[in-house]
Amino acid sequence: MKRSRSRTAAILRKELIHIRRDTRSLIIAVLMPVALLIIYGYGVSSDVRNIRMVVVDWCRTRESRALVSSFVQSGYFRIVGGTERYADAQRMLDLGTTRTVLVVPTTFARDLAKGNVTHVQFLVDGSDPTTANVAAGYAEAIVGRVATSAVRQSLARRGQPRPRGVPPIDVRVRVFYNEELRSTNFIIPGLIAIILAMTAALLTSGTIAGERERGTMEQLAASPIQSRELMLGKIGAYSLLAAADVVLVILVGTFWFGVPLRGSVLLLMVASGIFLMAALGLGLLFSARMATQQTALTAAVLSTMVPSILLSGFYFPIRSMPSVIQVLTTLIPARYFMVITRGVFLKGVGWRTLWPQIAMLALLAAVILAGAIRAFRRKL
Amino acid sequence: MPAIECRDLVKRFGTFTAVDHVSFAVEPGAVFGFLGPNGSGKSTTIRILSGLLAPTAGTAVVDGVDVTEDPENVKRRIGYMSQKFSLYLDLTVKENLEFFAGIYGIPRDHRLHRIGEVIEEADLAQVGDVLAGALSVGIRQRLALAAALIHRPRILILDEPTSGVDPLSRRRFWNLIHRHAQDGTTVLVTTHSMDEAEACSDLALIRAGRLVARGAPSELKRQLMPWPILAVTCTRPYDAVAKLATLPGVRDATLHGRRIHTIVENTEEAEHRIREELPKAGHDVQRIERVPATLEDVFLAVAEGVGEA
Repeated sequence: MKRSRSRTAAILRKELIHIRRDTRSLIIAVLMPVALLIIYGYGVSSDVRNIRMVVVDWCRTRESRALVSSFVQSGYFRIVGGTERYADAQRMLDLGTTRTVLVVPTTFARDLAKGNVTHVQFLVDGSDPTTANVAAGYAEAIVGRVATSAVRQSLARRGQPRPRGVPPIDVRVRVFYNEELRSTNFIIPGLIAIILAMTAALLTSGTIAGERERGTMEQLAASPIQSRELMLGKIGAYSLLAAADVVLVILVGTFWFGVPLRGSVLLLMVASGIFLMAALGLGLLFSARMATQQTALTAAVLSTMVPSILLSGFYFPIRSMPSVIQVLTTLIPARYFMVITRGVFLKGVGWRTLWPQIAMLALLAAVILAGAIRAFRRKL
Repeated sequence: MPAIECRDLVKRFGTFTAVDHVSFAVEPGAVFGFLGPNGSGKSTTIRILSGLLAPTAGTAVVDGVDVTEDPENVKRRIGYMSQKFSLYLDLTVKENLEFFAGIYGIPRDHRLHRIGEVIEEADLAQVGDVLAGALSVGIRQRLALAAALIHRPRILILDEPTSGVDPLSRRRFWNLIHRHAQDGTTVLVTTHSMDEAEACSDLALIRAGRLVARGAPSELKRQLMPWPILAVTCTRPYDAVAKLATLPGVRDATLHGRRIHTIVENTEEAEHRIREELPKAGHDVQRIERVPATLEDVFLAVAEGVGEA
């Protein structure tokens, strides 16, 4: 209908003027994604590199130095000190100057040469369990490799080519999709969902409550505008702003952080569009329901941003959540969108693989929008 | 056919009856004033007539359309201006008008022309590109009126349009209203300002949800003020008001400036009694004269129930 289009267009144009003149919205729309990219791109990294290590080398032989240097060459450890005294090393662990201590006993080289069992001690600061686990894992792997090659060498010297006790299976791991196991590659595609959810919640939540606080809602209510038209006009305007954010994150993600974008950009944009409808709809729903901009904002943030970060699989794997929570996550739009962005960015998969996620996302968006329009109608 | 007609209109909020069987009709081209104290139900009534609120009982027909049956149609036919300034402060005058032109579905090719017309009418040409937030209250009122008129409604509903506006701006505003009424627009306006009430061609007085009087301002004064009014000038008039009100034969006394408007049952008797009693209470009576009733006298008398014998 022509009149309906005219009314929707009027709302859209008005909202764009609001956005243009409201520095708060603009700052949220531009600075927020950039800040999040910096925080998550640099700050939050689950890669454990350059773990501080103190070496207590009581052996002082070529072999012991070789062991220490293979720790350093792995790139995972960085030596911050060396000492002769065990108590000193422990003190450094207490003070936090180091997170790990490698202790090589005097008998290390001798036992190795004889093919006897030898021990090295590895102390880890367990107060941060994630880093501690990773560090311990790396240390075991490094020591294991050194031991294996030492045994091979010593046996070869004695002319025994086929050693027993040395495992004949050699695992060659090949990592798919995120070959270098960079956590940035995992985080940034997911970040698109967080940024969209956040922008949508912050921008839309104030808009209906704001019209009511300023008294303009009364004027709209007295006009022939329909709830659906008002909603679509507002969503249209905020979508344009959010779409600019999507492009910004994709550009910064691929060019600055070097995240590979292997799939279809079109698919990514379409999925972003559907996800936006859900996020904006949720913001508007709260804005229509709450009396003031303040409460609407709080409700929108709690209902969109927080679940999008915690329950979407963005950082914490859904499969390791309690089953009740797992069921709850099926209602979080970001959960599906997260699979789509990662699939498109890292795996390069397309519609054929991702259609279940796209369908669920569309379903949730439709339900949320219908709810928002209903909540609106009662206010008009 | 009346432009607005309501019969036995009732609106209850829970156990509170805001509008209690109100019936009246407004002829086309009238400037119909709805007069009553705050909380008397006048805003509720016009919100029902604007299609914003559904009545609990009764019927209201606006421009031939039943408000309960088709509120959306009613909304297209009226121009509505609420108590609070309700346009967008961060939009310019023109942008606000363009917005409402779009909302009321004025065809694109006609829009600019129409906006030009209302800007001219409301004398807003000089502030066309100024943000509404930067305008004075008086100009904002004219802008709100221009927005309410953008779709050429045949009925204009105004809820206390000039509260907080200086007298000069108020005069300009009312000149606009009268021009539209002359062109056949029906105007329904709520007010508790006596200036505005005097400017109406018809008045209805509402108190506690009930319509208590109806008529032109001059009729109302005759009808509702059957008693003469004496203007008493004396020393310490503020204290004298209380004293006067208790005298036998005095129905009410209110302070107007330095003079006390005293509603009395009989002019001679009352004058005699006042000259006798006031000096006893230490007030020097300087002057007593008979004055014609003003609308304010009527309004106060009705609001306080003095008219009821």
